[in-house]
Amino acid sequence: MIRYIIKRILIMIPTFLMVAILIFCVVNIIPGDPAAIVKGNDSIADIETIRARMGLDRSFLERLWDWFFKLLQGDLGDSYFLGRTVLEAIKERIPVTLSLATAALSVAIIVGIPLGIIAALKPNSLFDTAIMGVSLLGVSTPEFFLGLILMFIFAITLRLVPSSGYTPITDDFGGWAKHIILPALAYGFGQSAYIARLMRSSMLEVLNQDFIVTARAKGQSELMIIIKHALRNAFLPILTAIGMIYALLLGGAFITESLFRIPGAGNLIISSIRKFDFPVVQGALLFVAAAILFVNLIVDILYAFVDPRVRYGSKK
Amino acid sequence: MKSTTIFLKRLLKNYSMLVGVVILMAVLAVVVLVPIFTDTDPNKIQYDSMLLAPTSDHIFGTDSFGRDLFARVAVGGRVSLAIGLEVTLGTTILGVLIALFAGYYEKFDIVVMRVMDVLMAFPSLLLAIALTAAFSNSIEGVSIALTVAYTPRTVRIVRSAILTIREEAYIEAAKAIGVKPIWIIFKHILPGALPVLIVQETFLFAYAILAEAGISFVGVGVQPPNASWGNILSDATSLLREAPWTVMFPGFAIMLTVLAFNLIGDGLREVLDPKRLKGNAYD
Repeated sequence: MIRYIIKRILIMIPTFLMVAILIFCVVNIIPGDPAAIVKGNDSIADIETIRARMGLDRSFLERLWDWFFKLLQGDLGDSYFLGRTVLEAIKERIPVTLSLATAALSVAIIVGIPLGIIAALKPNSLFDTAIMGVSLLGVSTPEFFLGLILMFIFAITLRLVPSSGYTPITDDFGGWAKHIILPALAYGFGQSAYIARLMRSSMLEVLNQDFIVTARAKGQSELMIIIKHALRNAFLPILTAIGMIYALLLGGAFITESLFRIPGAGNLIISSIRKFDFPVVQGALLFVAAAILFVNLIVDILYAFVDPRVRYGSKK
Repeated sequence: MKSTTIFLKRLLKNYSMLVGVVILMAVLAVVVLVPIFTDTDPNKIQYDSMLLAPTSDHIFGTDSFGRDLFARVAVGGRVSLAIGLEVTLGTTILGVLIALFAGYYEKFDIVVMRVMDVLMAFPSLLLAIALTAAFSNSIEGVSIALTVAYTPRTVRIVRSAILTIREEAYIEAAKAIGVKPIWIIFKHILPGALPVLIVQETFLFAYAILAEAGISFVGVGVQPPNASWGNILSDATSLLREAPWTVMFPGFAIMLTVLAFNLIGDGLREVLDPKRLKGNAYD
């Protein structure tokens, strides 16, 4: 098991370094001159001096090397406009995005798994058809449209919760919950629909297997069969899916953050792209990518833990 | 009976396929025909008719500049659907070419799959955002960015189909009698991977429309005055309280179109992949 984990971490390192280089390349081909924004309407300042001060006069490769070298020392550089280091700027944003993604994932799991199980137990019933129909609508609705509908109903018409904004969970849990409930519902619902569909087909597959027939033949109660035999096996594929969904939620949070004005990492990336604050864009993208790689790592380890074939077999 | 006839018969009997096609046809009719048959200018600003609720003159109402929302949703739909189509075609061509050569030449495979892994490790929407910015936020830029972001998925799916096909006896036979590799790839391997590819690309069309809407919604994608479903919705966000219809119409347009592609994808999967159907007898 430990060997498997070490191997898995070692594989992650080159991927992370290549992701870092990819991020630098993509961000640095964005056309836009941060120096021109710093200069603004100042007629005395010389744009070349500003560019030299910002290190923008050096060649692409020099800048890449410099960034990469500092990155290995844990230094992400300074923001052009925020007057602080990139690390400081990101540090307060990452927990916000994490809390949104986690809340949305909870919605997805709490709604999706029971619905999927119920649908699978009575396949092709009216209930099953209804659940699958709603879940199809769920995967087809963009989170920002669902968010707007929820905002209209619960914040504007019923005035139950604030329509936008954010309170850190550490300051005031109640305030956080009030602010996060609509974004989490809007962002998590589509994924819950996906989980429900997966859970249903995974359950159906397991329920058709021989060992379920055997258990029934032995006269075990249907409830025990479902809980003890079917669910355990049906959860395996769902586990991987949940990990992938969490990664997806972390990477796509910027749209929900933008709609509900949540000051998360995604929002920071969007505003920094607009201002050409490249060090911040690079740093924030890197953090999100690292978080996703980390989630994938945890899922693989969990999977190996649950399914011994993975850690002994040649399969990744 | 010929296999194409059987295939068409099965398609016609497939309920979700039919519903999907009907919805898509309706959306296409509005998006393609409305701009041709009406002379309402989607960009014409009229300050005397700002934020009108839907009436017989403006069936979707008007926005904060007094522009006719029906005309804007129709024209915006052209942009959104065109981007969806371009991304679908782009990922198909690129994805198939890369996957075919990677699946056939093993040396090429190792390098390509490493690059794909790196691209996959990166959140596709964020990659698309950064690339869209790199292409100066143009409409073509959005298409190229989404194509780059989504090609790895196609490569992965097609490649794994190819890896199975590669081991089949008829490929061995073709090699043994000296058929040229390029001929084997296109004539013998590609047709086997087609069902998987068609289903994948139908779902990808839906993804691409959602993704375009998302990145235009946050203001990085398609830029005004060009309309797309994403940026019409983005403009409407601040009007939610006073003019909710400005939000509902573009939102439902996105939802219906994506739903149509998902239904068609589900239908195609059932028809093209009988094995899966057999596996889930109750499905």
